[in-house]
Amino acid sequence: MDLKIPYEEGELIALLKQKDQRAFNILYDKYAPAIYTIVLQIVKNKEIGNNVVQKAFMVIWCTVVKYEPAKGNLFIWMLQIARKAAIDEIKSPNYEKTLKQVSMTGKEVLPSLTERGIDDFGFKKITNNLEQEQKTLIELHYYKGFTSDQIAETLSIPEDTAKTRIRTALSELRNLLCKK
Amino acid sequence: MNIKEYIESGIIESCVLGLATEAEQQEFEALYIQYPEIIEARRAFELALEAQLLKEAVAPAVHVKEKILKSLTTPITNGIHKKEKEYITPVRSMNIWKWIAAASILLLACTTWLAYSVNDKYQRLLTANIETANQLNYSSHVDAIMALKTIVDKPSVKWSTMVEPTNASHCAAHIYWDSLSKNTFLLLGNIPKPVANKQFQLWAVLNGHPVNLGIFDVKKEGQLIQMKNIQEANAFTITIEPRGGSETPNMKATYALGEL
Repeated sequence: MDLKIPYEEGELIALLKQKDQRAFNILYDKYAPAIYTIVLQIVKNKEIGNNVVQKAFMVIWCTVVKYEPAKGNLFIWMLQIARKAAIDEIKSPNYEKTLKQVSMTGKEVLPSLTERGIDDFGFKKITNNLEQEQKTLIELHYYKGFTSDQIAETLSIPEDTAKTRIRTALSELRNLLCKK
Repeated sequence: MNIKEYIESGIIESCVLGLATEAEQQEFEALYIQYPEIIEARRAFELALEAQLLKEAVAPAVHVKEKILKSLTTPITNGIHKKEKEYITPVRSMNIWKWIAAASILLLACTTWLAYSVNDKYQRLLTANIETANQLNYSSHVDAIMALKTIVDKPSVKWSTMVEPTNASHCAAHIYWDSLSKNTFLLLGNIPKPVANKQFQLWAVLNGHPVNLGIFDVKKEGQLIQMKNIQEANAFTITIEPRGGSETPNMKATYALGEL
């Protein structure tokens, strides 16, 4: 199949809302790697990552009729769904068990197609450039799904302080991203 | 409000990344309607984030896409092209059941399942999918969708739509009964709450005899309730009973029926 997108994003969205299979193919081919990369950075396991991506795209397919472009672009909407599914996964009681089982069967945990680790890609590559404290805050908030009060408790700081520092880290993240 | 400060506060990034609380998200949505510069800042961050994430990425396993297409898209397409006479056939065969199982994931809320044409089951299911998905809050229903899938996506599960006796086009609920585990689940559609001293009660009907499967309250559309187990059933009925339930159903107050 031709992987080039023959549609404007608006047209693609309109077709997705009509449950058009070609549009879903294009959507998947274009965005699945980016989605998988971030999922993998959260769940840290290929097999679990593949399952989460499958789950996320099923939800995307089911709910695309509800997607409102005015509230944000398509990829960002999908990213939020996928991150939520990945965070749900690492918080599920089965996660540790599955992780243990997979590592016992000797299966490779993370991609090794390149010499770079999965954390050298995409969003994590940017967050790695933050100062250590900000990096920790983003790690806990975005990648572990901690709320600001849980972060405050973990780092033994007041909740307001945690909130302010998270915001500052996010603002710095924007500067790093937009500077590129 | 100082908009420049707001833009630089990190709140926009928090909302775009899906980290904000509901209240923060609502405030953000109310503000960007008023201030184009907030939208501009949001778009700039979204585009930079998208560009960064798409630039370098690792592909998921090939089977992931195949599985998604198989479980969601293909069965629906097949269903549309089936001959009309097959639509009327009760949903019993494995192939059709598999399709129903897939469609049921989409039918989480069942809710605004209106405007069916009487003899076009597949088309109306598709309509329901769209209407239903409209009701979903995408970020908070991941678990609910998967929970429902776990329940219905088994060959042992039988499925039926429960309709009002006086209005067969209104889907009051779906009933799922597992012939192996004997578990019974009720997925509520758009049904009104009974008056304060009344309550809905579900009954299984076996060889003409009703068996009490429990009372339930309507909290919201799309509510999934596990009812009492039943060894065997030919049909299910929902009646309106005095609060606390009855020993025998008041058939005059039948709210919905569904044959298995």
